[in-house]
Amino acid sequence: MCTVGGPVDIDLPPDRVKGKDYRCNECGERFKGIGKKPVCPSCQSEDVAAV
Amino acid sequence: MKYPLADEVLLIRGNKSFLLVAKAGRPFCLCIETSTEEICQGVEPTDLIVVSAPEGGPLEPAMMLVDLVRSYQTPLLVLPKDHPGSRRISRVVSVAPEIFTSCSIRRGTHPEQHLVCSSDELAGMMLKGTVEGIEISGLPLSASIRAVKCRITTELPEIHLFSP
Repeated sequence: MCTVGGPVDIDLPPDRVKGKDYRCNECGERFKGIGKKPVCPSCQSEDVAAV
Repeated sequence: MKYPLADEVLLIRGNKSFLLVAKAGRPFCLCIETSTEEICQGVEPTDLIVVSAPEGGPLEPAMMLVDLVRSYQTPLLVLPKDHPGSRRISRVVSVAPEIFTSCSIRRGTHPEQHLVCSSDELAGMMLKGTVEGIEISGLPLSASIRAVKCRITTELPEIHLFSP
């Protein structure tokens, strides 16, 4: 049964989605990204670098 | 099992619930907004967009969710754990290369995109995006699969105003 407000929930550790910090080389936006090919959320550029 | 899939949507239907599965089709940034941070996910063309309706209902709002993500990159909102609004959510969405269906998570409270809340009858499946389509394992015997095409269109009819 799907838990909708019920007591059962699989136990996942806190901070379980760990992204890396990136900076967009085109618009300068800083963001936390996940995935093999992070994309800038502001200008959609793939020219980003981990910082 | 492998299923070819281009830009159409796959409907996996159980007795009382369903999943819609679509490929992202192109790279884009999908923002996942939690109560404390923003995580920007780099989505790839073969990644899957899975909308789950654990209680079933009409297909159209689920198709709209697919479209909101695939066509408009609408951010995903994640509720805090134990948020009372979780029980009001009748459709959830996950976007990832591989997605597992689980009936042991609370709706709308998990930022992990490799999991999607499903009904118990559709739990335990693994959906994986490929260049040709999708791979599905753990499909229940009671579930059926078919492709769905749906376009959301808007009409703006002329309104003629008459002066008195």
